[in-house]
Amino acid sequence: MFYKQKFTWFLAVLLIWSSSAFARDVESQDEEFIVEFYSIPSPDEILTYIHNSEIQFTPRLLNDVRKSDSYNTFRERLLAYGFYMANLAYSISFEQNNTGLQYFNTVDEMGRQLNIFPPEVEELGHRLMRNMNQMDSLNLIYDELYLLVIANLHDTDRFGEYALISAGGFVESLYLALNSDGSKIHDDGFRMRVWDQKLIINQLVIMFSRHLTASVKNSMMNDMQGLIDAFNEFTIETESTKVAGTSNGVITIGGGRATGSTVNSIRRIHEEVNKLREKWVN
Amino acid sequence: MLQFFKYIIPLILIFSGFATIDAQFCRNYEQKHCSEPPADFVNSSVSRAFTLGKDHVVRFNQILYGGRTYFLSVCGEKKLGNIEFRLLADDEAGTVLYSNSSNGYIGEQTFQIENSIKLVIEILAPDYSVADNHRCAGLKIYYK
Repeated sequence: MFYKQKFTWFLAVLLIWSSSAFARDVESQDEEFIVEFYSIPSPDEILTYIHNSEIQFTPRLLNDVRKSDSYNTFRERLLAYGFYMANLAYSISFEQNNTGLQYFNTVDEMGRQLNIFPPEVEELGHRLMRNMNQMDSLNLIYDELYLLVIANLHDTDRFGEYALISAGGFVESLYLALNSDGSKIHDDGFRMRVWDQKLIINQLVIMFSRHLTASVKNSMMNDMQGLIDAFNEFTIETESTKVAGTSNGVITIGGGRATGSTVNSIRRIHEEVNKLREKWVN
Repeated sequence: MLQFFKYIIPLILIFSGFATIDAQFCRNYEQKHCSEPPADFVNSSVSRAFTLGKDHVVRFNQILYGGRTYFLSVCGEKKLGNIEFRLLADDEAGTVLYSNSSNGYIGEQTFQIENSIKLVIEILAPDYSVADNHRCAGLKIYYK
């Protein structure tokens, strides 16, 4: 009986070892095994880049936290998670402590329902309670929360969910930047920074193709087609990327947008952002 | 047969779990091990921990905003040996703009970006030759 049991164990270990070794071999037989990640800047990074401290906090633009329960499908809830993350980033960047806390509570609750949090989030919540009146802490905690969520989605291969949260955060960030009081929508610098977001649209489209099911991808593309067209209408000269020089150990990368390019009207992008945001939020 | 269900099934579940937790096991590796940037830089949302293996290349498709300065640092477990990182243009030829292999595999580099661009950051462990093992590595991206 003892030997029979021992033999069963031996067979089991052999079976597991051989299957795992085989899985690795398949990878190493390829000349190069490429793992590819696509990243989208956080709502905080998009917002601060576009508005460059030129707009005023406009609370009427924020999505109502009471709506957080009204999103039914998984896609709607992930997009909404992106809106609320952007609302949180916007409130914090204007040092609106109380508003920021409301949005923190909303993203915390939704994150748990969506099951996108790693265990470390518990500690983050405790720290927030201890440092409730310090804006700097809230700022750091927002950064940490966003990093934890995104890292968790990456580590667990949930790239489709990452794409949908990013799309929601992206559209809400554009909406806030374009519609806030004091928005310099006719200023060339501001318009160029909005146009730069075309890179994000292009990246999102690739992520949809790679990581979403056909039906969700089609829904996203149908929803976003107007905005994609609007960005494509906004033409600009570009030149190839190159190293432009090195100074004090810092390498300058040039190219991309060409200097002295024509700046088109931003009106259509603005309209499409508002239309899409209206559709997704309500 | 009872032995099979009693011992082997739990074992299979445990070991198959180990095979998929690599990336989670490395979480925050970059925060603990990659070089720190100067104090005036802030962490971007795209710093990441990942795993590297023999002949593996990890590619990050990255959007970098114009007018910003980015501090990139890479790191990995000692057994991986040198960690190479390359910055590639997002063109058909995949033009290499920078590789730390021509700079003694130094782990960090600062880049000034003139106009917003999409770039590809490739990371690999060129000297690592163990075929059936993956090890933790990280990429830290800060900006100002």
